[in-house]
Amino acid sequence: MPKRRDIKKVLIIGSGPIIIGQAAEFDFSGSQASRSLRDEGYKTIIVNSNPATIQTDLETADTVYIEPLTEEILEKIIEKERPQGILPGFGGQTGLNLAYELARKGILQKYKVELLGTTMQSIEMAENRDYFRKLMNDIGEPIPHSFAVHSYNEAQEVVKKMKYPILIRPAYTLGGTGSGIAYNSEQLYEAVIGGLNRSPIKQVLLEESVLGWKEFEYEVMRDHSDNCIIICSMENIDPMGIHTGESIVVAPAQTLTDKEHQILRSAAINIIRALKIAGGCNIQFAVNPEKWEYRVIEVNPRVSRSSALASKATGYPIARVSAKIALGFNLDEIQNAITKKTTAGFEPALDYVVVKIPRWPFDKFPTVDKRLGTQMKSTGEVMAIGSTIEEALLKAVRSLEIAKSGFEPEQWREYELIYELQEPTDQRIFAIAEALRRGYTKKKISELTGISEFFINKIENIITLERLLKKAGPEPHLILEAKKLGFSDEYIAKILGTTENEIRYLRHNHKIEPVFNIVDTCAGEFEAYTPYYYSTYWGKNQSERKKQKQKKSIMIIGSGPIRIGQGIEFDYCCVHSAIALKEMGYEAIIINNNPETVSTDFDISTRLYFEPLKFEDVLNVLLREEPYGLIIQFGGQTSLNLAIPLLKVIKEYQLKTKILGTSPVSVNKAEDRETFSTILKKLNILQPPFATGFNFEEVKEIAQKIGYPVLVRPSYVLGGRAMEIVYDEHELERYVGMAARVSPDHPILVDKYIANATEVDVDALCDGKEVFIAGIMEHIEQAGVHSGDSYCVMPPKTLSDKTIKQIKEIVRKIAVELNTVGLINIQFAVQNNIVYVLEANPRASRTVPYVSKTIGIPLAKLATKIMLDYRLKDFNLPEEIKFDFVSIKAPVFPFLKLPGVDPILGPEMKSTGEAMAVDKKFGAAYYKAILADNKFTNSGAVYITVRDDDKKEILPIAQQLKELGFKIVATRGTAQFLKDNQIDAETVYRISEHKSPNALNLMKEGKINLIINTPTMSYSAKRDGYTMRRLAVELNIPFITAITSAYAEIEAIKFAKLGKLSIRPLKHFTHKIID
Amino acid sequence: MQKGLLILEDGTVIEGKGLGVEGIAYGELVFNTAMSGYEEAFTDPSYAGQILLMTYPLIGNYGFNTKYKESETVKIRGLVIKEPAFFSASNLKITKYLQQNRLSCIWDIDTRQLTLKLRYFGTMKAMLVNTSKVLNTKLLIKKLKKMAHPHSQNLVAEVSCKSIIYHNNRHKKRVILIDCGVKNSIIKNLLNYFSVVQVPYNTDLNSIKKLNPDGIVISNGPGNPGHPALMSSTVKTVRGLIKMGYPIFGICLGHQLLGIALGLKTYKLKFGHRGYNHPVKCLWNNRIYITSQNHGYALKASDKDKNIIFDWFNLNDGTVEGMHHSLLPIFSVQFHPEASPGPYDTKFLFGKFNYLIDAKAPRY
Ligand SMILES: Nc1ncnc2c1ncn2[C@@H]1O[C@H](COP(=O)(O)OP(=O)(O)O)[C@@H](O)[C@H]1O
Ligand SMILES: Nc1ncnc2c1ncn2[C@@H]1O[C@H](COP(=O)(O)OP(=O)(O)O)[C@@H](O)[C@H]1O
Ligand SMILES: [Mg+2]
Ligand SMILES: [Mg+2]
Repeated sequence: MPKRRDIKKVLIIGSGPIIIGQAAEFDFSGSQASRSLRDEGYKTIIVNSNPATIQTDLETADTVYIEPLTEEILEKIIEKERPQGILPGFGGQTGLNLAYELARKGILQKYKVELLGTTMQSIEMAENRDYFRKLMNDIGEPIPHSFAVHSYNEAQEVVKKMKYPILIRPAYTLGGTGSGIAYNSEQLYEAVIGGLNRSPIKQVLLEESVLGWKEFEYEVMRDHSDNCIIICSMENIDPMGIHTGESIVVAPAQTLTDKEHQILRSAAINIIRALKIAGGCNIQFAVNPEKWEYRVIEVNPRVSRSSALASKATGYPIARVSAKIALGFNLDEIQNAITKKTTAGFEPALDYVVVKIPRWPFDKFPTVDKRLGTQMKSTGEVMAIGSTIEEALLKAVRSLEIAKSGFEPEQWREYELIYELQEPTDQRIFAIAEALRRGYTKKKISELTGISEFFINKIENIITLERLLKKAGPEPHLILEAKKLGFSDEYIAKILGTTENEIRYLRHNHKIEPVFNIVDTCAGEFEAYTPYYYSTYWGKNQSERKKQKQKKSIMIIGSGPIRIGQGIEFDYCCVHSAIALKEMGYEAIIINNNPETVSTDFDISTRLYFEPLKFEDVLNVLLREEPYGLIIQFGGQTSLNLAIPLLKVIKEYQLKTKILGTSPVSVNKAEDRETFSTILKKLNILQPPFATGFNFEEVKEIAQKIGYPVLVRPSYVLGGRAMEIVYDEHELERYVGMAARVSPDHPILVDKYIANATEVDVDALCDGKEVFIAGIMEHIEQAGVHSGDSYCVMPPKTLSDKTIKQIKEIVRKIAVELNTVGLINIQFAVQNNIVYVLEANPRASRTVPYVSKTIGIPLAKLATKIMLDYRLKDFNLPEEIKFDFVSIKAPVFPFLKLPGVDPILGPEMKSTGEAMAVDKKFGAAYYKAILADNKFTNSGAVYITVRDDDKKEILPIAQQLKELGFKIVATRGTAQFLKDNQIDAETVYRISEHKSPNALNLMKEGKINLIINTPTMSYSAKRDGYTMRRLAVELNIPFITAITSAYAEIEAIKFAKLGKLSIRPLKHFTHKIID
Repeated sequence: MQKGLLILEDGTVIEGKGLGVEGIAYGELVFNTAMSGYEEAFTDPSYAGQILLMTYPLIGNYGFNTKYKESETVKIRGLVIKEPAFFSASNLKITKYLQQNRLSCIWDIDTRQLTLKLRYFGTMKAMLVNTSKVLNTKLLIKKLKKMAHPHSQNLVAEVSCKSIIYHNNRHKKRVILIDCGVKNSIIKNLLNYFSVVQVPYNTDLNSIKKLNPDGIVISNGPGNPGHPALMSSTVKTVRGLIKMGYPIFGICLGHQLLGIALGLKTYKLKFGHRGYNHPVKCLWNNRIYITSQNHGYALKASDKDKNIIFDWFNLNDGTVEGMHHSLLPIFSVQFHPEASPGPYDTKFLFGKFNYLIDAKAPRY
């Protein structure tokens, strides 16, 4: 079918902020789609509220709207831009549901906009669990026995015809949101209500369980002429019951015979044809491990986390091809990007194996329920490629950034080990290894875990070799066998009780080196041009030849899996840096292991190495490429940690490679507290007083001297409980006893807590001499709430000109003192106009994309040029950035997905993503920022429960909320205080007071629409509001924990009552992009 | 641990580990990119005379189950792989399977480098030496260079049935299957529509006529379609059958022999098509199908005879994948509609042959 001539402009809906279950993979798919359409001459418009995305760059799309993803905003954009088509399948569940609503409400029809790639019916058929069930019966595809219900009463009826355990699966959700398992009728109520709450159409499927069956995913592509191909089959190592996003996954499928694989393949094609989806889609099967039978579990009628994984695992660009199919192309009318001669109409053949492991945030949330189930809790994932499953598995394990170099021995007691095998958490793979080490049989472990013996045997091979090594010592042929099973030098060293360097030298002497093979989608059958490499020890002779290097090459170290505090922003910087390098005529080399992001799209860099970011693996690539330069500024903490070791090894191997940008020595000056403190003293810059205590007495003494409240942080973090604000000695004792050991080699750092201070973040560029202040961001929440968890606003809202001038001065002094080359981020606390420096990070920070989009200057790109001897004056940057608008960055939190976590903010970062909102006035921008996280209310009742010293502050807030028509509800103390000040408020009781009305019931009856709750930061005071805050998260009731945020909320409510939302494309707010 | 050596025609000697039966295997080294279906491949008679190199790194991962075999015995002369799956869930594991089937294998080979070499230089004669004895490799290389290419032998005779086999069932219509090395799954698919009489490859025209068939199927098989032994037997018989107007369906080698009988030429591909992800385009409905393939030769398209319509092409390299005759009830395909291993996308072609026989229409 020829290209759609009738379509000129296509609107692509993004997926919004990174949240658990819907993360960077949709920036990857959206960017691929937009670039693919522009190759064919279409204009693309992208709307997305997430600034840290490549798709919202003016290089990726013709027009970019960074606005909240709501029906009202979408209609405004459609009305203004008048696209002919809309691509719903590239923005995850958010994009899909939004497009579906626009279609259902006739908005698309009103402006003659066509849904491309998938129709409304296809979305309904796939997402409405009831329609899906009927369709599968019609086409004869087996599904578990199930019933769709819309209320708990219906559920009670239907359950009579079923047997437990029963799966509860809501419609139109992803990442297992709202899903659950009811093992008995007591659990049914909570599971059904939870599911109904989360389903936009209030529908859940009650389904008989196939828990323990094997789970498979098939990525299928179909075009308008009904041609169908399978990109990749993937097998979940974890059985049914553990969400596909929480499972360790192997590609291709391993335990299916050819007949079984072909039956599932034909079924997948049968299903995508019945759904009439044009483009990519993911189909999940459950397979009975005892005797052959399968069930269809679900279909995601769009590109997904699995299609991003399948694209990186096979090299087949699913999103790029899907976008072209949506515009009318057939598979054989699309050029094969890899062979450049054949077409996209083929099925990839792999001559390697791929393993994916999810990355969970449990290290940051000590109180979370770590058990894995049908709801996703992981924030990211790593992928690894190897010749064998063992090689790929161990490479993936060391990519996870969880201080594991392999299957190190665990100290669990017997019952803990058994419990971990049966009730899996993120530690299960290590429990299997430990069980094998203690002599458990494959059969026993398979029974306890439900994992097939085939995969347990792979870990057994690793443990067996570990034993051989222990017995025989560093035998060269054994070291080779270990490397072939993916052992890292560090893991071998630990087994043999020697050092990582020793093992490396031994390898060099015996020529035990990895080779690098290409990921070419055809197992070597055709000449491939994809510069996409992985390492393996199963190769015998030389690696595949790289193209001869006429140009200088520069290597960028990536940022690894997405996790709390190290998110998509760093990948964004790596991509921008690679593009800048190519524009300057260098070869850009990227090394990274995150399958979800744009940086591991093989046509972003000149050469891509899909490898762990451990010292050993980075060195392998360094020795192969011998790049002219090495960039470590854009990979967040991951690349920074490699700085000093790489500097040493470059000297050791006499490599000509230069580490570009701020030198590791300068970076260390900023990271080491003592050195940095002397620098600040020299420049007479204020810093909160601090001291380091090496035993508990010392810590107590320091806290006394500095004066409470103090901020305490252990140098050795125990179980994620790291930083805390401590208000008195009693709490200090509890903290040191429970949360952090203190000993000579694990000292505790004590800082003066600058209370009621405004926190300020500054991103700046420095070429060693000149400094350009790119962004001064004033935080709404006070210092004490981590900078990554605070709303922030540009330009600063309340800072005086004097303070701003002082801050700029300090940034210039510090940047030059550290002879920064590239980016630097400095954080301040401003307490009644006194400016304290909290920390300086001479690297890209997570606010670089937000600041770049706000001021219209590509900071990562300019930083890269500065590292290659450009000067700031070469870019004729504006002296002063003029703002005729307000730009706000809003954090987004994972509390709903992490049961057991107290949704309270503190000095430890907890947010997973961010949204950006821009408008003429602060109130409008803040309103949009809250809308982007769909947590806005402008009427109803507000429940106020604040600590004593906030009571005075709350008066004007309560007053204004009253004027805005809110009913005030408060706990006894606060209610009395308000009444004394002529503000009537209904008294409500805490549960412990056993009187009604109590807050929780009111919330459940939907009678409370907003909560203002400011508990003290101290540990004990936080406990009692916990149940109330958890319920607020569950019922999606917005709640505010800081006085300053309450004022901002009021300005937003005022705007919402009278103002009208306006939209403006990104270009409008920014200055011309200087290049 | 047994040592294994793989010696190539161009003198390359590759060391690996040995597995299965000791001894020296000689054949044409070819590579297959399928990621499953290894048991079907080992027993596919089309591989007679060949040493099989698998590009997928782990072989035997789901074990062995003799119900998947495509013929009674293993037909490949030797197996070259990266890693054998010593453990697999099913009871029959690779080590025992190799012993039971007298097959020798060499592993821990850089199968990717070897595949790139075959892609560049084309398939070549090879010797797989699996022994714990010390070897004189120079001697073996000289011996290998002198040995005749396996395709010079009549490999079809090796694998064809020796006498007529009757597969009777409830179907009235009878099809004569000219067995040049037929795969079991072709017979299984035919039995859905017809009763089948399997005859040796060199059965003459009269014997077939006596069996009064409703249709003829020429099966897949090994070796060079232009082999003189086939010219004087199968091709002669097929020419007669064409003249008599029987409906004829050719698969893989059968497609090539039917082409030769119709006056076309065949040529040797540099390294052939072996795998199950090969896209072909059907010009009837302009659709793409993913097919299973295992052939080293192809038919050369020509417009000498206007009645021969080439209606299937390979999407990757444009080679001929199928043809039909505009007047006679004859059609054939180069790929394997019966799959196993591989996708079932083109299984409908067996139904098309049944329709061709019923309609007796000159064209379908
Ligand atoms: N009938 C079932 N029996 C057992 N486990 C199930 C069943 N249905 C779903 N699951 C498990 O729940 C997980 C999430 O279900 P799924 O429908 O894929 O949700 P989502 O659409 O959010 O991905 C699946 O990956 C699977 O492990
Ligand atoms: N001395 C202090 N007084 C007040 N707040 C502080 C102080 N030190 C740190 N904080 C708060 O804790 C947060 C995290 O501390 P920081 O040193 O920036 O660690 P990180 O390396 O995690 O960014 C800061 O964003 C700030 O809100
Ligand atoms: Mg799913
Ligand atoms: Mg900080």
